[in-house]
Amino acid sequence: MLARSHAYDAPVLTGGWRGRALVLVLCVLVAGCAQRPDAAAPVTLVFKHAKILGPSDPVPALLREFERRHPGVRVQAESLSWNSDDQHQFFVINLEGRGATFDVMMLDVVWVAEFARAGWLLDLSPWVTRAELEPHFPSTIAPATWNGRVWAMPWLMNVGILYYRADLLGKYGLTPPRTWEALVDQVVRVRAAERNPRLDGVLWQGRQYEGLTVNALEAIWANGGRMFGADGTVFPEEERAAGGLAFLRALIVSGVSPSWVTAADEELSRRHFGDGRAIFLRNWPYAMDLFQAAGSPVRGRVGMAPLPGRVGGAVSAASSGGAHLGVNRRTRHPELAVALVRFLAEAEAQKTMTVGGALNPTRMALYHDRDVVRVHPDFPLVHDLMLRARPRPVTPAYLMLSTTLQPEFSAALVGVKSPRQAIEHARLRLSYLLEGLR
Amino acid sequence: MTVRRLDDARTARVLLAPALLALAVLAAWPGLWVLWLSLQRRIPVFGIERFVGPAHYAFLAEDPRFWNAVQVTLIFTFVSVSLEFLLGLGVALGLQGQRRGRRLAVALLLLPWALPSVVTGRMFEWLYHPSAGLLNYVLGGEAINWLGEPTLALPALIAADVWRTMPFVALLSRRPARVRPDVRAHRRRPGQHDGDAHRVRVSQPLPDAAAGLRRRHRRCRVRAGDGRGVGLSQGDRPRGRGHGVRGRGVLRDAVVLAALALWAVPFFWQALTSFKPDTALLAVERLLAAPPTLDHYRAVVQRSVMPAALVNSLGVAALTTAFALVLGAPGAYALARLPVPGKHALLLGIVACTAFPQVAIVGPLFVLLRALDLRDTWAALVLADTSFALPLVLWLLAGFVREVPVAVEEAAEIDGASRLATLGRVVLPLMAPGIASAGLLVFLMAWNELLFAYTFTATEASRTVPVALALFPGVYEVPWGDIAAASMLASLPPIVIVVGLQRWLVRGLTAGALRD
Repeated sequence: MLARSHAYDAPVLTGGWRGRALVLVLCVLVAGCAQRPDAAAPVTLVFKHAKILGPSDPVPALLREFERRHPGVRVQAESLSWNSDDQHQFFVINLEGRGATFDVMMLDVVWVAEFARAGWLLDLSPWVTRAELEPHFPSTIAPATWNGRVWAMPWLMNVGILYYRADLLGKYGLTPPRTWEALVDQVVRVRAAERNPRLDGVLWQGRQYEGLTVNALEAIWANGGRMFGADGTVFPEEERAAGGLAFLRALIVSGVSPSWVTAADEELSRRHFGDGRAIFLRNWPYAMDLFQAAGSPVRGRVGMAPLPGRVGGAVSAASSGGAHLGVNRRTRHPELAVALVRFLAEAEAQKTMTVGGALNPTRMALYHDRDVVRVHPDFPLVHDLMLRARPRPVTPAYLMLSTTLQPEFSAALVGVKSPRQAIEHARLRLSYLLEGLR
Repeated sequence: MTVRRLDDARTARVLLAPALLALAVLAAWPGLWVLWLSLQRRIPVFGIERFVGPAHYAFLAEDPRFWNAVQVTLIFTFVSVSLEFLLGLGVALGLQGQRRGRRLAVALLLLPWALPSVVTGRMFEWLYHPSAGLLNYVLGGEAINWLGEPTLALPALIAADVWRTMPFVALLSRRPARVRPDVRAHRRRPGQHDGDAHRVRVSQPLPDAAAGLRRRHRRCRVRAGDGRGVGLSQGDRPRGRGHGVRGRGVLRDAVVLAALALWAVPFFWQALTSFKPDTALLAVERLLAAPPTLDHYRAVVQRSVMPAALVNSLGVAALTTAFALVLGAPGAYALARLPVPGKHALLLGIVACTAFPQVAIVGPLFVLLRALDLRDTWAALVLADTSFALPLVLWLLAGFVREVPVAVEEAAEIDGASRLATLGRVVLPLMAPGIASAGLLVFLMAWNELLFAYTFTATEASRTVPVALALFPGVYEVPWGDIAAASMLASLPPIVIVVGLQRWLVRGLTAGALRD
């Protein structure tokens, strides 16, 4: 389940993972050091990936299969911590200056352009054609192909989803709202009828971190705004961008969202909704499995819908997320490393990951595959949501831009700045940063 | 003696060179280079590096966020410093006549100052907690969101800063009326050679140090001392004993102790929290009623990075201390006793090195450590910490060298000892207490250091205690109990130093004007 949400700041699940990860890494290191270079020894590929948590980890079996198909090749998987920031820091430090200790890496979608621009990724264009990318969701292809070249293969997919309490909506004859305005009306109606002061309206992620960028962008998109215009201007529809932020602020002021959403991340909001204390929740697909788990207070009472649009704005626009697979440019075995990446992104491997490990594949066809749907009956619906997903801006400076935006968005949400001011200030800073990148 | 003086000049160069070189590379160069960097656009990972002139300054001049930060910083500084001085002077007055429990009083007073700032941060976060915090409970159960409310956040931060800095001000302003520096001693006396003239200026950073020194002189009966360089009139004896009714004195002492204990409540509250089960942490009454448990300590030791962080912190702090002392002690001797050309400018320069805010030199240091491929190593942190540790050691030890009577050295010289032999066999042993004081201060500062450790470490395994505590992971809720336990572990060395090694700490503190 973790690997589904590693788009950013992925949640932790089990206690003791830290120690185990450390021990694992140490074992791997010791094992690696103990090996003598030997001409007769098989080629070893090192695959660095985020820790895959959840009921089972299907990756090792896939790697054994790859080894079986490529005699003389051994694949050593090394897992990094669950935390997206830690992973990023690990890669930056090791790709910059130090010797290449790994060949294949699992990358958050928003890093691909950055790593490509820095010269750390092998250009996959000689091997991977555009046609090979086509079966993947469109919003995963854009981040993989910065600057007209192919830098990574889409592997795991994520999308923003509106969860709703089907039981509550059904009780009052309501259907999932198509606009945020309708959502607010429904909250008011349901709460008035339920007479439960502890029942919150809609929960989302407003803490100052990558999650805030995602939620604010979704609000801006829904209102018909964009972060970049075609010519590179920042927030070309300034009014609409400010209107998006203003709407989020209004949710808090009116009490439709509790004031603590400005401190909420995925897990905090997911837990609260999972305890049955809210009507709506914006979150990633991983949350559904937990809502449907045995013992969950909301089991069988939760529905999934596209994120709403705005009246007079755009139709729903949910952000995509997920992970890609890239090859270290300094790998000593480019052919094999590329082969491994393509193998893992194949339909067969993605299916194994999905059926065995509850991860969301990037290949569209799998969402209607009979074996997959048997395990995940909601996948056809998720497919439609993912099809509409929009990638965050694809730029090498994404992380820099996002961390610059976060304080401005946060200031607007807590009311320190007006939404218009926040957009104006964000624009000023972003323009200056981008100018420096030219 | 000309040969001797020539030798001395050479010895001085040899003794000072390592310290000055280290200072030049680790403090002066980053401090100056940051000015040059500020005129450039640099994004190393993208290979962007070009001169942009004053563009960054022009941007800041129009950047509302920058001006807002300036305004907030000014308010923060002005208000907290004013409060710290007012309260600090009050506490110093209260402590003045303290007779019983003096050690305890000083320990209570110094504790807030000696804790890592991250621990202070975590403590106040917990105190300010909207529903389970002690502050709201004391205020009658209001659910005030101290840190979440834009208008309340700044006062809340100021309160935390005053809490940890006031004790320092109080300690430095103790007994201000008793010690009167003798102005005459400042003047250069006929027959006094150059070294002594500097000695007078450098050796009296604070009156209190001189007072302590004088007492020690009397107590130890160091006959060789002639009082030169001490800068105090010998006739000034501590007064104020035996006045007031005894019973009243006891009461007064008790009141002062109680007030200091009250001041330290945030710490005790954190300590108490660390022993209470998670289920009791939702409300103050339940926390008070719950039976103690070691669960949090078990969790921190078995399942967090704290054990590794404690090892890292101990290693880095100990190595920084050793490195700074080894480089600093010979240099301090040269500065205090030997003819060094441009000594004045040098001393000024050393003080200036401590004037750069850490955040100003962290960038250049990062570039330097990256070039040396030292990121994520102890060496990186030791070198970075040396940038503030070494000036402090030089400054403090130069003062302590001057406490060693010149006559002792002259006697050694007559016996035929070389300068180095004198330094090694006579001066250093005599100033051992001073070295211990300086070492303790440096250790404490390195133990508490956050910014460098945060910037120069990348992996969990190499984090130091303040970084581990700052990034303490919570799954979906903040694990207040585990954080409290981790805070206690992080506070252990400061507590040991404040309680057990208080004498040396206070001596070092009052001997050099320390900035935080």
